[in-house]
Amino acid sequence: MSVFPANALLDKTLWALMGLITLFLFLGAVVLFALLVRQKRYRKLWAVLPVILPSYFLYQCICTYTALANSPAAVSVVTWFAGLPGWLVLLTCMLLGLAEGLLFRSVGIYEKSRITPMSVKEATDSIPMGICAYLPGGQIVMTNRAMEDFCLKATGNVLSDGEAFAETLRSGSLQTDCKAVMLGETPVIVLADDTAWALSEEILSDEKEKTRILRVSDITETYQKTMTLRSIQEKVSSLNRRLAKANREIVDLTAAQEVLNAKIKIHDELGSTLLSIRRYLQSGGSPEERDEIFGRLRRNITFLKREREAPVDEYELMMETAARLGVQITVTGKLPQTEPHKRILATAMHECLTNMLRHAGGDELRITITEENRKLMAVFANNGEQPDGEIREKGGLASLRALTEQGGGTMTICSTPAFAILLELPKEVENAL
Amino acid sequence: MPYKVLIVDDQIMSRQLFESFVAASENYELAASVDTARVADIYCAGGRVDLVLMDVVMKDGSNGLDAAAQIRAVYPKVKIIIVTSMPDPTFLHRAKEIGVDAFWYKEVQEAPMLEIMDRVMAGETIFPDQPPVTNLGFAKSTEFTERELEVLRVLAEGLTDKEIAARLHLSLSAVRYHVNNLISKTGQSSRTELAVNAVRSGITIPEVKKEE
Repeated sequence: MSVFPANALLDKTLWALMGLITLFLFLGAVVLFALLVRQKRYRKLWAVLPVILPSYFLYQCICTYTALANSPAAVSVVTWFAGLPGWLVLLTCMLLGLAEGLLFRSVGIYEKSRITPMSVKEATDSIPMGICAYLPGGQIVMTNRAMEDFCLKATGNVLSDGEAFAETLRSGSLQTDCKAVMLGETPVIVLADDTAWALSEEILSDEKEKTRILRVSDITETYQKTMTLRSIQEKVSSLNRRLAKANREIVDLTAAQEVLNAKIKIHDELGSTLLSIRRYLQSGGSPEERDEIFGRLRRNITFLKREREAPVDEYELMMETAARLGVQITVTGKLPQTEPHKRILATAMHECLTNMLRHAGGDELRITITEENRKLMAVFANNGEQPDGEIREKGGLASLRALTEQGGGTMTICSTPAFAILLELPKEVENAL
Repeated sequence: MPYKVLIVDDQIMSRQLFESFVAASENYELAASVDTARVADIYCAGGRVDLVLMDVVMKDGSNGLDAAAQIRAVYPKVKIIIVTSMPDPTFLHRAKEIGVDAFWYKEVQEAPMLEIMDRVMAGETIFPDQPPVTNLGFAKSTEFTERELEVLRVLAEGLTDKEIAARLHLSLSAVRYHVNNLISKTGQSSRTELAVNAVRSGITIPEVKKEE
């Protein structure tokens, strides 16, 4: 085929130009193919067309221009190609060039908007937080540089098994000079370089395979400030404890001072009594006067001899008070000595004794203590008059119920046939009262 | 018929002093003399007490004012005289709130105890105009506001600003403001010195807790 038969040079130049264009088209198609095959499967079909057609045209151009088409197959193709009008070949090349240009553009846009595993890796490597995603069994799906460094510093090994690494962190079997601590509810790993890393773990439950994500975040500044704050708080608490103790001692000292003042008064009175004795001995007096002087003397000496009394046990105090008021407290079983049981039972004794004296008028308060199934049961009853109707629970009884329930127990009041209070308390209870 | 008197004081010297007052008058007889406010209401329960002479701060941690409030609520006919040697002004204030019949400062009051008892049994209520004035650093006890005294009392218990704020339902900044005011008024060098000297002077008495 000759486009310009009259001018062989122009004709050859045109063919050379077309050959060059198709060469570029071919190279473009190869590059496009290389890009498209990385994408979704259907795009490979797209890639076939721009490769085959330019290849064909390139072949024809080479054959025609160099006149090396000696093979029969090539001759026949050349013959067919030579029969095509020149404008058609030119138009086809232009359309193909346009199609390749559009495809390149779309590939460029796609590449810019698409996140590849490599781009994720590059991004995660640049963040200060350590991330490690692994499958059950320990196979690592993804990790970043910060986590690799952390693993090496914390365990002394390179990060190769996610599960083993996570277990090492959880158990705290770390390198010497590294330690695992809790900051509130957050586990924290403190490395030898004094950096602190908060540890968190998450399971991606929507995945078919349960991928676990292990994260470590650098919280060195927060950790150090928290430690400083704790240290200050401990010092403040210690000072406050000492202050409270000192103030209790001051109260005692004040009381002691009060006693001392009273003793001084008694001492003065003693002096006055001794003067009275002297006067009595010198001038005589009646036996009544003598007895009065000796009574004063005895009283003063008693005052000076006696010291402060020791605090009394709560049960003993109730028993002693009841006895003074003519009430006998009979206890069957063993009164608990542990808290909060003791406090609750002493309060119950107080309440029952008060109510009995106010309303029932008896002279015996019976307390029966039994233990069964990790429960301690106490029944309080008296020999006084029985109540006319239902007992209204207010004041002391309501307080007793609140105290019992705070201790994890229950309180039942029986009004008929005889008044009784039943307390059921768990034997082992944390003393939160 | 003589009035029956219950004496509640943890100091034996004071108790015996009051007992001697009771014994000295034909108008009174001793119902009981106890060293803790915890059982005061039990003695009142049987209707055997007409008058209670009660101290405020007891060494076992019980408080005469709490017991007085309980007795006043349940046994309104029983007369109550609060006796104390502590100049803490909140004691007097609270005693008035509870509605006790008289308030008597040991060793300071000029009127004799028996006279106070007679007047109370005759239906009078007797309160001193103000507590004895004591000094805390550069400041007199009368120079403190009620709120400052509240803060001072809790401070003396060894609580932190945050705990004081929670106890008194104040903001943290308000507590700091009051503490700074107290330090500045009294000229104390620190809150610890303030707390210790406040207790030592008797301006405030912290709640006495039993040793765990």
